[in-house]
Amino acid sequence: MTVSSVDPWSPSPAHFRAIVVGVVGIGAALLFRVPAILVLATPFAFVAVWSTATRPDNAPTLTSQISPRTIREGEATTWAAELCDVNAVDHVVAFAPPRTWLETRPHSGVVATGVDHGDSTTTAAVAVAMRCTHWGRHEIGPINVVAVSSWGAFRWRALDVGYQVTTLPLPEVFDAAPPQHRANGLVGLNRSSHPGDGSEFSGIRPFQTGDRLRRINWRRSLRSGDLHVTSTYADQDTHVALFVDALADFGTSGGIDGAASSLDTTVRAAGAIAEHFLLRGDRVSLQVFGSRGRSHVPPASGRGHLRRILDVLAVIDPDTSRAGEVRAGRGAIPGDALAIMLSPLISPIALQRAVSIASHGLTVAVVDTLPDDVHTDDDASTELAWRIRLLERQREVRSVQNVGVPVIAWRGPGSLDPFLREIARRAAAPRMARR
Amino acid sequence: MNSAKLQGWIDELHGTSRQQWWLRLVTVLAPLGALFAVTAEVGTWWPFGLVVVTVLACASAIQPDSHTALVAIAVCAAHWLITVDRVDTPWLPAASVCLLAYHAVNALAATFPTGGKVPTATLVRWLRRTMFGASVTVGMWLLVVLLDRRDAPGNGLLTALALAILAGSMFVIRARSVHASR
Repeated sequence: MTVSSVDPWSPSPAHFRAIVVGVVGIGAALLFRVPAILVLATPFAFVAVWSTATRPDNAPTLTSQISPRTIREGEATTWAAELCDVNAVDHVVAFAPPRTWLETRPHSGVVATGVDHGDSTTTAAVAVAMRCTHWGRHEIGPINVVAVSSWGAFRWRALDVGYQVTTLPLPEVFDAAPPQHRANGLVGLNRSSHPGDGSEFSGIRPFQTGDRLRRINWRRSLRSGDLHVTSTYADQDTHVALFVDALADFGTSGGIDGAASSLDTTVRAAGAIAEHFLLRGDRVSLQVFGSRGRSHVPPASGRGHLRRILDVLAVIDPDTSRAGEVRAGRGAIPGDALAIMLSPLISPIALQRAVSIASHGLTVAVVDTLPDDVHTDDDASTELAWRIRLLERQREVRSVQNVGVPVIAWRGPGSLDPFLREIARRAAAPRMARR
Repeated sequence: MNSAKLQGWIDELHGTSRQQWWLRLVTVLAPLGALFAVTAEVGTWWPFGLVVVTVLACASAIQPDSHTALVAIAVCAAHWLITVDRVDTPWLPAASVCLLAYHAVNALAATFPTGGKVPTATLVRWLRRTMFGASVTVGMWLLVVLLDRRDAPGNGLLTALALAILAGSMFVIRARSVHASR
């Protein structure tokens, strides 16, 4: 519970009105002997007396919570509050003001409940469901909670603030059919080119010191008279290094139900690729450049690691300053990994970084996440500048492709298939051996 | 006018629930009903008062949590007292009940944001209370008419006593109903 301020029971303008009309009316009727005033003032006196007689003495106790605090895009969380000690309360109203990327149910964000004094319960519960339509960290509230006495005469208010909900990006649908890049880890699902402790048959060889007894091939051993073992290829994983360009956001974001901006596509695509490889048992690392805050996740595998990656993706905040660009040029390059860079490629920094990674001997692919329909404003000069920048971008992309870095447009499932197929083909091709 | 403020108003209008529109409509119509009671009694309209009360009623419908309704009630009551010189007309309790309805609906609307929906149980409870208040008003009017016809001296004291009895009985009824429900 994070109730920031509580106002005690206080009279409303309605109560003031009832008392003024009632008291002044009866007083005037008695003083001036005008019975019509008495009739006109009677209902107000009635309301004033009733309201005063039922004035709540104790302040209610507000207990509130929001659950769950971490959701995916498109999912909903619920703010719920319970007021205890509401003996003299007529009804309770809670109002969650509208927030960007938060859809409330009811749509107005106003929920109310009448306190039925017929049963023995002295609590009133209100709840507002909130659906997050965009990834990121969202502030919930401040939510006003108001308890009202009979005839709306007295009100008690509380302001509930300080809730934050983390909305993880909903990874897009992604799949890759081709075989993987050469594996270099210790465990995993991919067949290594090196023999080792795995499941795929490699051959039968004489027993060596250190071989496991369960690997002994008894049939061959009996035939030959010497101990032989069945050797296998090692099962190893791939380190997939994701580089996310968060230098700027282009296009208009309509949330999970609308159009996607470049950063939306980047974040969701990064989540999709990470999910795909992590569920295959590979290791995935993440480096976000051009973002404020945490920007690096070391390589690891498993579902828990996917959550870590999505957590970092969810808090991406583009740093468009010069300092952000300078920071973007730095960052460690992994030793041996399949590097995938996701960028709208408007800033040349991403392409420079991709070339730099490729020059370290890593296999790199650049995923272009610029939406097709990025609208600039109606200003002719801006429109012209944007077109010139797009032409320059085409030239930069061609030059990067010429040095062997493929640039692939993000199209969802199968986007990386040509690239993965190509590197698998390269790995399987005969190589010149040094003798 | 600040365009953001104007946009805020447009959004608020757009987000107003149907039920709140009805409540605001009653808020506007109730004081006009009180004026109509005067007109029905004397047979002539008061155009200036009609405009003033309409403006005040609309203002209080837009901002129910204000003292505008007090001014509107004062104008209606003053109009009755200036125009009508008798108490034995049934239009008097009718005007009084209209003012009570105006007060009640205004008080209820003030506790809800424009997009809110009043729970049905709460609406029924308020309606029941208002009807009870209306019956008390009619009872008071009958008492006043009775005393007026007898033309007995000391009407004010008797009326005050009657009010005290009414208030006491109302308090007892309310206390009994609460205790009975527990």
